[in-house]
Amino acid sequence: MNLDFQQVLTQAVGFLILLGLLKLFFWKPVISLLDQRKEKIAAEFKHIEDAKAELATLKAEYETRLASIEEIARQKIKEAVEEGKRITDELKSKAEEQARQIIESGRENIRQELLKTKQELKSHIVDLALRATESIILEKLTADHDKKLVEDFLDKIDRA
Amino acid sequence: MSGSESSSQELANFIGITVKGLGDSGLGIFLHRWENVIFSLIAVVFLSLMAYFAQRNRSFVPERRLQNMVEVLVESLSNFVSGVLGEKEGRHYLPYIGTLFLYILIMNFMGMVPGMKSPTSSLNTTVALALCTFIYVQYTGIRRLGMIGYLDHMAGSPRMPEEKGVFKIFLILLFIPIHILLFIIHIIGEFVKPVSLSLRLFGNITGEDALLYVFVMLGLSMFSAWKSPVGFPLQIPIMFLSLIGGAVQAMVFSLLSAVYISMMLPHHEEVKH
Repeated sequence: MNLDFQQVLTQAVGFLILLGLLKLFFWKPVISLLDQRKEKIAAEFKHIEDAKAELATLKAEYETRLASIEEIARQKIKEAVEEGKRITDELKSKAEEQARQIIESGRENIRQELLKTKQELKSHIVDLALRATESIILEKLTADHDKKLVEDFLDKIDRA
Repeated sequence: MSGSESSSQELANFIGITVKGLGDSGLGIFLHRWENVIFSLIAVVFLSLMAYFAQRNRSFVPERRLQNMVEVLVESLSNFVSGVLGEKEGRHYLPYIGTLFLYILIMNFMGMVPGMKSPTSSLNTTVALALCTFIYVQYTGIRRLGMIGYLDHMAGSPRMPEEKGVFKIFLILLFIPIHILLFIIHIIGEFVKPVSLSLRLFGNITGEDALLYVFVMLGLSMFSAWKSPVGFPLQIPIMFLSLIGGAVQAMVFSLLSAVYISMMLPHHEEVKH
């Protein structure tokens, strides 16, 4: 095993040249590229995490808003129902009033008609009775006297 | 070991064949002497070309197979070096350790290529690499610790004892020779490191190449009765062994270099495993 120092030196120089070349044209660019990629991936992950956090905040905000919207909607529905009930009650009472008035006026009409009919019937019966009596007794009484007699008769009938 | 001494235990390579053809001419003697250096230069050129092709048209999103392979290799080496030196220091010393690994790996594998030879089967090559590591380690120590810090490290970091009175003087008198001894031991240790690095690599690769040679010769002798120019390929299992052995030796050399560097750093970073 003889050491040749010239060869040792040459080998060392060869290695150092290779080291310099690779360091400059291989290791530095590759390491830089890998670091850049690592940083980019880390940044992307951070961005995703931030987006997730933002999404969670937005979701919470949305849910809060949704809850408040639901509350408002419930309130509005309640108010609408109450308004509807109020209107219904009002309409109902109006309708009842109108119905009552219609019934009242109907009753009044009926009463008036009945009264009128009674009067007509009464005068008709009186006429019929007078004609019948005239034909029976063939005696012509005065109109006022006849009428009085008939009315007395009818009063008796009413009382009876 | 010069080319002439190793040729008897190695497979024929193209320079050896050329030398035989040239005989004792000046060029023959020159080639014979610089055989290992020429093979080392071939490894240098090969690695430089590979680096060039790997870096040519590189993209942020790797699409070429070569770029993918290179990035996987670099990332693996980075993890390997960071495992010893820590994340920050690992990135700083990756070019040296990585180049050392790739260079030794390629030189170790060259012995299996027909017509080629492992330059690492020459002590000149391994000594050169070990000397580079030795000088780099000492340079790192002086640069990172400062000259006083470096000498302090070599002397085992002596500190003034906290005790008082006569006992303190006694301890100082006791520690002075101990630290002088530690300094000498450290110096010897530092010089032994390149010796062990170079001899280990040289011995293993020489052994593998010799084994390949023996098995090729054995395969040839099996068919020698028929005067066959091709022997039985008995060396194939040994080639697999050389593949593993070459990779392991490259890794051991690089790992020990990283460890020697880490021992010279002021504060050892937290090592990730």
